[in-house]
Amino acid sequence: MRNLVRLFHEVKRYWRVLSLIVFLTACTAGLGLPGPLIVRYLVDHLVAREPFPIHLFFLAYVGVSLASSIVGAALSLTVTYLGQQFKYDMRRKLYAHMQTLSLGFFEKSQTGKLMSNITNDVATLDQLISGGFVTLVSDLVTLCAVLVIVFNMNWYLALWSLSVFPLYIINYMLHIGRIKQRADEIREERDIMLGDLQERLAGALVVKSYAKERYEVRQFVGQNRNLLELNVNQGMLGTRLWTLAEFIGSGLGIAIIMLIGGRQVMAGNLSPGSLIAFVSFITGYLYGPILRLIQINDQIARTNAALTRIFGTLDTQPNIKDRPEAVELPTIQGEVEYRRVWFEYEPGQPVIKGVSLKVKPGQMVAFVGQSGSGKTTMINLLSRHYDVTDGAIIVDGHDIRDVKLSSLRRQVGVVIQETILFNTTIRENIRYGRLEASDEEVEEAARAANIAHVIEALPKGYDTRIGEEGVKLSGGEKQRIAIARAILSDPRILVLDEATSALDSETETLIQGALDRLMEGRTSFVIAHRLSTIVKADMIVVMEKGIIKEAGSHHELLEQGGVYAGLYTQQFKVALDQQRAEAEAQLGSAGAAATA
Amino acid sequence: MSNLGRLLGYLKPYRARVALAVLLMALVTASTLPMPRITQYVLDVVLPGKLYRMLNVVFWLIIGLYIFRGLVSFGLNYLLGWLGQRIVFDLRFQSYRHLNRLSLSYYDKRQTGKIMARVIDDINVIQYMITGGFVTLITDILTLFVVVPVVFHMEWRLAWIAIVIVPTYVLIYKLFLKRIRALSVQLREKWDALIGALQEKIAGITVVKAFNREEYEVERFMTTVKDNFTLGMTQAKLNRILGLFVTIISAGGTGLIYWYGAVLVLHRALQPGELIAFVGYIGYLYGPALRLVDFNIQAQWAGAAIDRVFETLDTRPEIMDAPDAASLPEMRGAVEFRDVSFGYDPEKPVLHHLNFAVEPGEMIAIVGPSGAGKTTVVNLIARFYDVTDGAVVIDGLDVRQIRLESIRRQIGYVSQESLLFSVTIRENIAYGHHDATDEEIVTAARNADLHDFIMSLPDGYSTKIGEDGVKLSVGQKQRLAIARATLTNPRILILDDATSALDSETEANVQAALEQVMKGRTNFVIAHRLSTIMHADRIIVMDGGRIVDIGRHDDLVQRPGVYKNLYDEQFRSAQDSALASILG
Repeated sequence: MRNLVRLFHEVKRYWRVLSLIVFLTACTAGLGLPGPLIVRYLVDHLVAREPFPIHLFFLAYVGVSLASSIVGAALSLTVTYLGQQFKYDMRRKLYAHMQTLSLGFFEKSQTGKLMSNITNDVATLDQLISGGFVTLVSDLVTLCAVLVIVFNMNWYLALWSLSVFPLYIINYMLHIGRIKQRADEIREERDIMLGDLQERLAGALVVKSYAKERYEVRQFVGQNRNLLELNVNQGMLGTRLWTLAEFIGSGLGIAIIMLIGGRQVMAGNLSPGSLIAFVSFITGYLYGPILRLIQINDQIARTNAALTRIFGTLDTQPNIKDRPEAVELPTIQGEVEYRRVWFEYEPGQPVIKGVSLKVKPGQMVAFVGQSGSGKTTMINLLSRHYDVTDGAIIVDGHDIRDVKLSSLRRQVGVVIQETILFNTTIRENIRYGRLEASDEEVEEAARAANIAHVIEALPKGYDTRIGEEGVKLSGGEKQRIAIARAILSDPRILVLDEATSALDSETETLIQGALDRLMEGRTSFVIAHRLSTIVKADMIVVMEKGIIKEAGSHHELLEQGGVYAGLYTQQFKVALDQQRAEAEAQLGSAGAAATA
Repeated sequence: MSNLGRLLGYLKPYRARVALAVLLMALVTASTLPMPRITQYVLDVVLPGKLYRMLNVVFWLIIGLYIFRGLVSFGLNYLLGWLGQRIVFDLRFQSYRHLNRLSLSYYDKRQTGKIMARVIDDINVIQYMITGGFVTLITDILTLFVVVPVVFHMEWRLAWIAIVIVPTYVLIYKLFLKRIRALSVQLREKWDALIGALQEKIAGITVVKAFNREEYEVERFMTTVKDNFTLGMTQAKLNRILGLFVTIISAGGTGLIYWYGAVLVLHRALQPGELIAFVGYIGYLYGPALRLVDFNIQAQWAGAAIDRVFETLDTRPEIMDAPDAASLPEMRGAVEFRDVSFGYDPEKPVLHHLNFAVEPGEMIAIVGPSGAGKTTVVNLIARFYDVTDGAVVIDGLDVRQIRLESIRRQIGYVSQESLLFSVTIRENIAYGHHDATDEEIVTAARNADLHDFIMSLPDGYSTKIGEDGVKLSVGQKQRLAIARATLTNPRILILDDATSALDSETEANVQAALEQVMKGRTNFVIAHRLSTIMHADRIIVMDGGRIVDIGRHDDLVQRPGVYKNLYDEQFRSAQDSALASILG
């Protein structure tokens, strides 16, 4: 119910369109009523063989039909307009709101579900508004008018015709519970099937690698067979309900009107034309509306689920928000300080435990550590995808929670582990870093990321589409485009999270040159597993289970002989052994030469 | 239209039921006919003659008629519902089976969302058309065939008036149909674009946020929504205008019949009840015309859906078993590339004349710059693609002569991206070998240095991953994928950059465990970290789609070339500092 009130508030602002719709609905309902009365007039005169102005009758009949269909068309267009406008506004609201939500929200929700929020759920609401709502108004108007008319014509017959109603409603009530239950079951089963389908199609590579095609088809068939049975059963229940309803409404209803009404006519209490009008009023204008009014309850229930989901999304507060007094972060030098930072994704499970770290402008910091030690989290905190649980992160003397989010992110460039490119041209993908960049600047960035020669070798060059129906790029090529995109955005603080992991050493070296240039004069944070990438960092931060184990330059850390020294020897053992042997040989021969 | 015919072909296995349905439809149609006649009888005979007894007969007649009608239409609707669901089932089953047969190249080029839409939405649209509009259409046509003779029999002059109007319908339809059809196609395309954009931007939200593009994205999205809005309104307008014309024509026709009918009644050439019955029958005639407007729209959507479903079904899998393909139950694991050339796009070859032979049990490393064709080589071994020229030979047999299933069953393939499913860890590991025992699963996890981590989770191996489950890091996913591959006990193990996201220590652990696993199998390893590959039996060095060198690490570092460059690059800083620490 609370959802409905909120929906009402959402719809309120269309009150102009809404009042027009109510007006037009009343008109259509009103224009529908004269039909049977006109026919009554005709029948009565014909049965009595009394001459009457036939051309006037013709004009009235055609005129009423015409007017009713014109108003009907206007109504239906207005309703469509309202529906479209509502969907447009609602989708905008939802999508815009989702954009403000923090990364944590998206990590917890499946893309498909968020999408169906914007597409299907909104469409369901529209059905209630432009379907249920409009029929509700027109049904109410029709119902009242018809009741007045039929009771006026002959109250005795009217009562008799209404006598089948209890049966009608009982029939509906008996079925609807089971139908609804079946519908829930179908929805559940369908959701499972959809989820699995999406995953198996996206994971086609795995299915094929393990030759599991037949197994997957069998699973799918199993799920679909369940669905088939549920659907057939549901269809049977529905058919039974409506068949019985038609029998009660049309069959029993008409039979009673003919019997009772016939007697009334013979007794002279009713004209033959009225009898005909009665039949069309009761069957055409009474049973339908009453049933729909009962059903609206059901429709609302169905919409309720969609409403809950939509409002649920709209009510999700972004974890990260600009404070009211947040200021624009001026162009920064790039001094970063982690001040006793604590952070937990889930309460009670800290992943960063009181880390303090000071980085001078222009320094390069490398995070090293096992997977799960908190490296990526450190970086996510800096670009404020999450807020620290305790402590603070200070950039150029500003606590990042006190500045506008957009002004912070504009100055922090991030290249992440999983390369995400969009389904458009290469040029547009690079330009995403800075929308107002000129073509030359885009190409410049591509050159700097060492991808220009690959792009230029393509038949359409920068205008080649990537992704679906486009060219297939290797993992390394994609990553270099992502780097070009970051280069173009020209950030003050640069973050590279495993940005070069998919590159071979040679390409990495080439890019590294570009990155070195890019990092010059900027503060940069790098996460990489390949130590060769890291050794030249100004500061290497070794993380372990959320704390800083060691920090210092490559040489300092080697001398300490701690975790880093261990990692380092591990990776380069063979090379070191070889090198040591050679060096020793050299020293040995030098020594030998010296002694000689 | 041929596609529609093909769709109807799906009804063939259910011939008997379809025949029964047609019979029931005819009966339902027949049951609608007596009602106007009964009204006429009451009006013309019973009421003027005050035949009280006949009124009771009429009462029971109507009840009987509707009971008959109810039974028949219940049977009909049940049957139709069953047929509709059955066709959905058959089409889904066939589409999905076919999708599974299609090669990876099909998936490379399409967004998952769009493939899904074909299996789900398109087939639903088809079902609606078959059980909804299509049946109404048939019933309407049946009714027309019966009603036309009936009205001519009743009063031929009035019947002519009713019929003469029909050509105007046809004319109006023709006028509108083309534009409505064009709009439907556009609308469908715009909607697809909207879905595509939405999916991409939500999945790629990290990038949107990293570049501060939230507002820009909202604006862009809203333009697509706006397009849909405008098109939707235009279509609604057209439909309404068409509907308006159709109603006007029907109303005019009915009005004319009343007019002329009234004249006939007043001249005693017609009974009043007959006129009412006549108008009742005319309703059966014009009703279908009105419904045709709606059916038309439905048919447009369904037509497009049918085309797409069949397009999928008609896409030939590029990789198929040859009719005489042999199965290879026990593979030894000898792999040979004989002058292999390949291009994803035949115009643009990515591999040029590769030649090499691998003995069973060897460990082969493939190195080279990105874009050199390393992944392509292993993809060809698993026959995800077919060579353009030359042959890939396993155990002396061209892979195209071996049954796909027997190749893939014996190849353990760990790809660059670790794709896992939203089930438990145990089920993920056991994906390749469903009846693995718990011990086997634990061993596989240990091989990937993952057992301790799994045990640290509250639910251990029963922990669900993915949506609603625990979130794994990229490194953990990679290790899970490795565990999954080793469990199948493959003859050929392929690791395509499978350890890139692991830190050195974890990688060393995984390597040590894998060394045991790799024994006795043929192994192909692609890695960028040279420490991973230095102990390979042979290293294949690739560049620009060609093999530039093959040899052992010790030999390769001796001669100048791609490998030495790679090696030097990666080790230079290490060497420098190592030297520094030794010498200094």
